Formats: sequence, structure tokens, C-alpha cells
Amino acid sequence: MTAEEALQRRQPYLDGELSAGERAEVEACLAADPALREAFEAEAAFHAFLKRASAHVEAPEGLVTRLAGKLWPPEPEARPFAHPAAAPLPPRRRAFRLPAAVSSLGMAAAVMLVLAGMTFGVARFQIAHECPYIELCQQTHARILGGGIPMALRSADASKLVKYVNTRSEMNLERLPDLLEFNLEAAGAGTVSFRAIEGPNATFVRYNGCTTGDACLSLIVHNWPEEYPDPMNFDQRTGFWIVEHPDYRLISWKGYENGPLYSLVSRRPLSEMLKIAELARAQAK
Amino acid sequence: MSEDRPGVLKPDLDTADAAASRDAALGPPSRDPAVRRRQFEDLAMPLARTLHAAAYRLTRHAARAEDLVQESYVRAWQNFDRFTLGTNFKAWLFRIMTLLYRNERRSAKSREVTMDPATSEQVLPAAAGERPADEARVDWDAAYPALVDDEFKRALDRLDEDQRAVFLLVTLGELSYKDCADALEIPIGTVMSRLFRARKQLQDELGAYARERGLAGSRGAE
Repeated sequence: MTAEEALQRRQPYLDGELSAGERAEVEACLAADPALREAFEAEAAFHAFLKRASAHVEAPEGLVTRLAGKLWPPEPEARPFAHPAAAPLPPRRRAFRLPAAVSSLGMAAAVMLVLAGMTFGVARFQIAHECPYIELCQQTHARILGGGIPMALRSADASKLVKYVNTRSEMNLERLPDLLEFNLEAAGAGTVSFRAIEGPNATFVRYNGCTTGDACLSLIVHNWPEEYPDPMNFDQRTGFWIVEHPDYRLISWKGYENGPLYSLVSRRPLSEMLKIAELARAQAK
Repeated sequence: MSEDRPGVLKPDLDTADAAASRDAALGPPSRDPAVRRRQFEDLAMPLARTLHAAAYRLTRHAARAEDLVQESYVRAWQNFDRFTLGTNFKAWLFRIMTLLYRNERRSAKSREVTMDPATSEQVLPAAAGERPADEARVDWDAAYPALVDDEFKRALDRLDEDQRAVFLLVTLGELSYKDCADALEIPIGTVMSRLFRARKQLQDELGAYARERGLAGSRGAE
């Protein structure tokens, strides 16, 4: 093998792609030609640089935890259902489509606020109508409470949290509901992806104060048009979509025209959640 | 493998994956769910950051990168029965990610027909045999901090997408040329030519930048 032929093989040599015989021939050339050896050394140093530089990407905080949560989601306590990443969503029943302007919002996103808190009056609605959106809300709520979705940003600064949410979800929230009235303080934010490739589907902000699963509330803000609640659940009097399930309650409302949909999900009594929803609806626009 | 090869030029034949592959007995994953999950976790989870880096370099979008990684892991777990313990899991996982990425690209737009001039007969571009440029050589170790962020990213982004995919599979995924060719459904010769061109372009761009910044090595021009 000539030096030129050896030089031609420098990349496959350094990539470990040559046969034993070819490697031996290249190495014989290297031993006999210092300039050739220097060229190989320079190439090797460059390859090492490329590998190091290519890997120089900061992985998102909690990546492995989220992967584990995606692969092995915690079992729901009372009403298990398939994880949407592992199995296709069930066929929709009476799919509700928002106006085209809303649908054009495109990639799904959500903000989840985990709240704890209060006790209020009595339940006024007994509606239980299911759709995939409801299951996704409930599942995310359960995963956050179970520690399956970590916070990527720990801060009580609402402006930072809004910035995080907007960046991660490509939403344009101006503010988050201020629930200090209920002694609830924002603690941080994180992201949940329900579906691969299409982008993040949920970004949540967690509030301090959650002590038990039953006390926690999740406020979801999303622009996921295909997963909106069923119109059968819409309550004309309050302007909320309301779902009452034996294991959880869910209240949803539209933030503003062409804006996202906000939802509360919790095991708390519906009457309590309605009061929080009224406050949140008044603020989160 | 040659025993007396100088260290700096030693081909990267003895990666952690290769070592792990040698140590593990060949066979299917366990049927016991708990053992099977542990086997998957042991193989897959240490690769998450590397896979994410490759996904980010491929998609150039943080959110899409994480979703691509998640979907790759889901697919890998769903198809774990098809994996043979003791073989190269990293290559298998990178191949899954590549297939998903290509499918995504296909569905996003009508796939371009790439008319790559390289064929299996055209193993190496003519330039491969040229002596490296007679400009001052770059000390890549010294240049690393200055180049690793914006300059490297820009240079990588300027690569043709097909070249970038090959480059990342070989560089980060440590795929063999054959595994890379299988993953991308292209001939090995095309892998080699794309890889060569990608490295050459990166070397030219980054080298020029490094020289402008006075980061050329002291060995200097010949």
C-alpha cells in the first residue's frame, strides 16, 4: 500500500472500518512515513473534536425521568386507561371541533397548574361524559401528583414561568392565574409531551400547597383543538364544560377568542373547584 | 485488531457498547416483566443524553428533539423482543430514531429524491487521497471551547441534511458504516462519501474560523 492509498483510507481506518489486513497495511505505511502519521494524528484529533462538539448539547432537565414516565406511567389509582404514547387514542365520540381560527393554532400545548387548597360548598353538577381530552387531563394530573413529571424550572416568579410556558409550548400567555388569595404560590414549571414528534403538548406550572392527591388541583391551559371537551358537557348557565367522574372532576372554559382552553381537574368536590375556576377564569386571560 | 497500534490513531473499535456486547450473552430479553424492564433500563437510559444530542442536531429544535427521543424509546421498548441482548443496542436505538425522523420528514413534506452522485462503486471522493491542506494545522483541543457552541452549530446546520444524518449516526451513534447504510437505506459507499464530505466541510469552515481567531497549532504550515 502506498502512502497515498493509506491516506485515502484514513477515515475508515479511524472509524474502525478496515479489515485486519488493511489496517496492518496502513500501519506499516504510518510507521515508515512521519508526515503521513502526522496527517493521521491531525485527522484523529479533528474526529475527537467533532465527537465532543456534537455531543455538546444540554439535555433538558428531567429527560430520563420523563422517558421513564412515558414508558412506564404510574398506574392510575382507580380507573386505569392506556397511555396515549403506548397505544392509539380511542375513537372520539361526537368530536367537537372549534372554529377554524382556533384549529389553526396548530401544535398542541398546555399549561398545567397544580393547586392545593380550599374547601367550598356542595356539588351542583353531575355530568360524566368522556372523551380522550378528559383522559389526557386526568392522566397528566395523576402523573404530576405521582412525581412522574418533574419540574424543569423551579421558581415562584410568575413572569419566568409564563416565559417558560410560552417558550416551550409556543403559546402566547400574558399571565397565569394569581391564586395567592388561596395561599397558593407557584413553585415551578415543566413540560409534558403526550405525542412524539409533534412538539410538546403540555407545559405545567406547579403551585406549592399540594399535600395529598385529593387536595391537588390541576389547571390546564391548552390549544389542542382536536382534544377539546365534548359539547355535551357544556353548561350554559356557568359557561363551563363540566365533567364529574367518580374519581375526579374536570371544569373547562375558553380563555378568550382564539385563545387556549383552560381546565381544572381534581378529586375535590365540584363546588370547590367551581369557585377556583371562577377566579382563574377572571384572571387568566 | 492490531496490538501495537499507536494510541492516538487507534480506531474507535472498543467502545463501551462493544465491550458491553462482548460481556452480555446473546439472546432475547427476559420474559419476566421486571427483569425485562431492568434489562431495557440498563441498556437504554444511559444513552438518553447522547440520543437527545443527536436528535437535537438532526431536528435543530429542542421540543422536537425531545419528542423524537421519547418516541424512539417507546418504539424501542415496544419492540424490545426483537432486540438480541449482546448486540449493539446503541446502534439499534439510533436506527429506530433515524427511521422515525425520516418518517416524520416524509410525512411533513414530499420526500426529495436525493441524487447523490456517490455510489457503492464510488467509494471515496478523489479528494480523500489528497494530503491535508498545507495551512497551519488547528489545535482542535485548544480550539474546542471557542468553537463548540455557535460556530460548530452553524457549521453543522450548513451541512446538507443527508450528510448531517450520516455524520451524526457515525459520530454520535457510533454506528458502523453498514449499520448506518441500513438505517438510511443507502449504499455503504454513499455513507462513506457523505461522511467524508461532511467532515471536510466542517474542517474547512471550522478550521478557517480557528485560524482567523489565532487558534492554529504551533506546528504550523509545512
